[in-house]
Amino acid sequence: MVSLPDINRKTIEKLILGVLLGTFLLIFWTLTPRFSAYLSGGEDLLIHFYDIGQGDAALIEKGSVQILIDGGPNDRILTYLGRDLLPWDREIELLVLTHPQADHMAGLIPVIERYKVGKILYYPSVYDTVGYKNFQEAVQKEGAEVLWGQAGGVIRVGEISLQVLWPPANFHSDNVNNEGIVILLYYQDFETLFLGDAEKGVQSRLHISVDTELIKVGHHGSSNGSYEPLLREISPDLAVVSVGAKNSYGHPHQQTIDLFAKIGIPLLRTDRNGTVTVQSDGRSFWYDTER
Amino acid sequence: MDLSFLDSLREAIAETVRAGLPEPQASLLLGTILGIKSGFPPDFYESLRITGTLHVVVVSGFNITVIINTLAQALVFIPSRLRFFITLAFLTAFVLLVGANAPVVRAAIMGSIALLGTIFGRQNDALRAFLIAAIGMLIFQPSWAAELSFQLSFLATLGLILVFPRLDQLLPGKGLLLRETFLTTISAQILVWPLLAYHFGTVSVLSPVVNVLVLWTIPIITYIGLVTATIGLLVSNIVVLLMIPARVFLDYFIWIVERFSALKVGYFAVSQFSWVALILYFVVLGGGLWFLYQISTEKQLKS
Repeated sequence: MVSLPDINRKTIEKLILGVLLGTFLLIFWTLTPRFSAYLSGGEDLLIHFYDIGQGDAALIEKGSVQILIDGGPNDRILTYLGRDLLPWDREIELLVLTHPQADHMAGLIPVIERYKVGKILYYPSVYDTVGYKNFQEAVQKEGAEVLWGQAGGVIRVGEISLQVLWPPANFHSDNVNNEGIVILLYYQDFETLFLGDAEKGVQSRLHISVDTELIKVGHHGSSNGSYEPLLREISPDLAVVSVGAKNSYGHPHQQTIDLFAKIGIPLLRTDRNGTVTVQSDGRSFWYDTER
Repeated sequence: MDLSFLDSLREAIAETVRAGLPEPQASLLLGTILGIKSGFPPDFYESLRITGTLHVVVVSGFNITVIINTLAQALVFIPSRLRFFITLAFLTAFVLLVGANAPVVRAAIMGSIALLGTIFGRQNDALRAFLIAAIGMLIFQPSWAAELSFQLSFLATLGLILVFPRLDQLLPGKGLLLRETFLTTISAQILVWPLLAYHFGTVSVLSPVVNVLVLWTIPIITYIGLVTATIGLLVSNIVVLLMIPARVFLDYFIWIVERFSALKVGYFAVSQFSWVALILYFVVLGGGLWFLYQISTEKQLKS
């Protein structure tokens, strides 16, 4: 039989080795981009348009404050949140569901289940799917404060303001895309327009008086997802289409690509560029793509 | 006996881990400690497959071995007979919790026999323990013989028992860091790769390298993971902080696996081959091992 001191010596040796390896890994950990961003202050606004396949998911970050607009069609959002949030940050301050279609909503359900969510913004569309029911159940179970999206409302989260531009109170459309929440984000002098899946008809009724730097193109770049007069009115410097590679809808439509080329707005696509990250100090902005 | 409470316990642990860790960290930890395979991010699953590290979550009795060793060492102050039964009780509970699949049962039986040997001072004949476990399992559940997970776990263990000591003798550098992990991986791989190639049509040359780099974290992850998940069940509001130590190792594991799978080299498709070739390989390998065994015993006799 093995004698007692022998086991203790081995255990202690293992313990020391473990602590050493742990320290080594901790150093390695602090070298990851997420950490270095945190250590260097993390003072800028970040907007990630995630490559989650055919759907929409965008995370807005400022310091430890996060806003998630839509969650994409699957669980992939969990991996992205794991990569971009600090290990001890398990709170999403505001979660937005633009409209209850699966390609925007499915990923939000596990996010609500696994993360602490402060507020949830959505529009009470009538939409009879199991997914939507699951979403509403998850919201109820989470006990987060629910905000109904309604044109004119302004939500402040940290230094970020979100102005809801659409839909008007008690609005109803047979096309749930057009009941979708449209948001204009303000961060000092930097503005971003999130169109969700809103189509031309809705976009023609939006009036935006401020110069907008960035736009999340409507309805994955479909043929009726971009309204030329609105684009000319707000004259964005950059546009992002959230779209899956080889999707069955043929998004983004050639008309849309041509329209942005004609006006001269650079167009990034999550299917080709991968995840697009836009960074702003409140005055200017720059971006980075995965591919 | 009503065992449904084990299902709810497993579910509660899964929920705790998922509340404290993002993906794929949560899935990796749950796969490692409890063999839970649902909810695995498909991309990461593919990365594990490419790098030959899928066995950590799919065919693993490793967690069982970790539990046996930990308990046996932690309980040294208890009289040996009692210690054996306490460990056995914990082990049985854990096997039921994880779900009694082939690799887990094999590891549990072999571990118990080995434990019996060390505690009661008898010689620990690994091969004998292994054969008892295998034969016992097949009498109890003959259909396991046809299961890939049983075959893989059977071959991998046989590799550890038969090939490892030979490699350990032949190769220099005893006591070097990670040498043992490397030899362990190679020993298992020598027996396992033809079967994997036969079933999946792929061979991973990177597998030994990646396994050496990550396998040492698995006992640590299993141990920290089990302890912190259990504490997390009781005090759920600090689960995020509790998970940070495990996360450090999980992040490292994932980083290595993703880097190597992104290389897209060292991963070969092999054309279909007959099961006769498979048998032939094992016959030749067996002969070679027997030859090496003869040489080493002759050397021992001379010296």
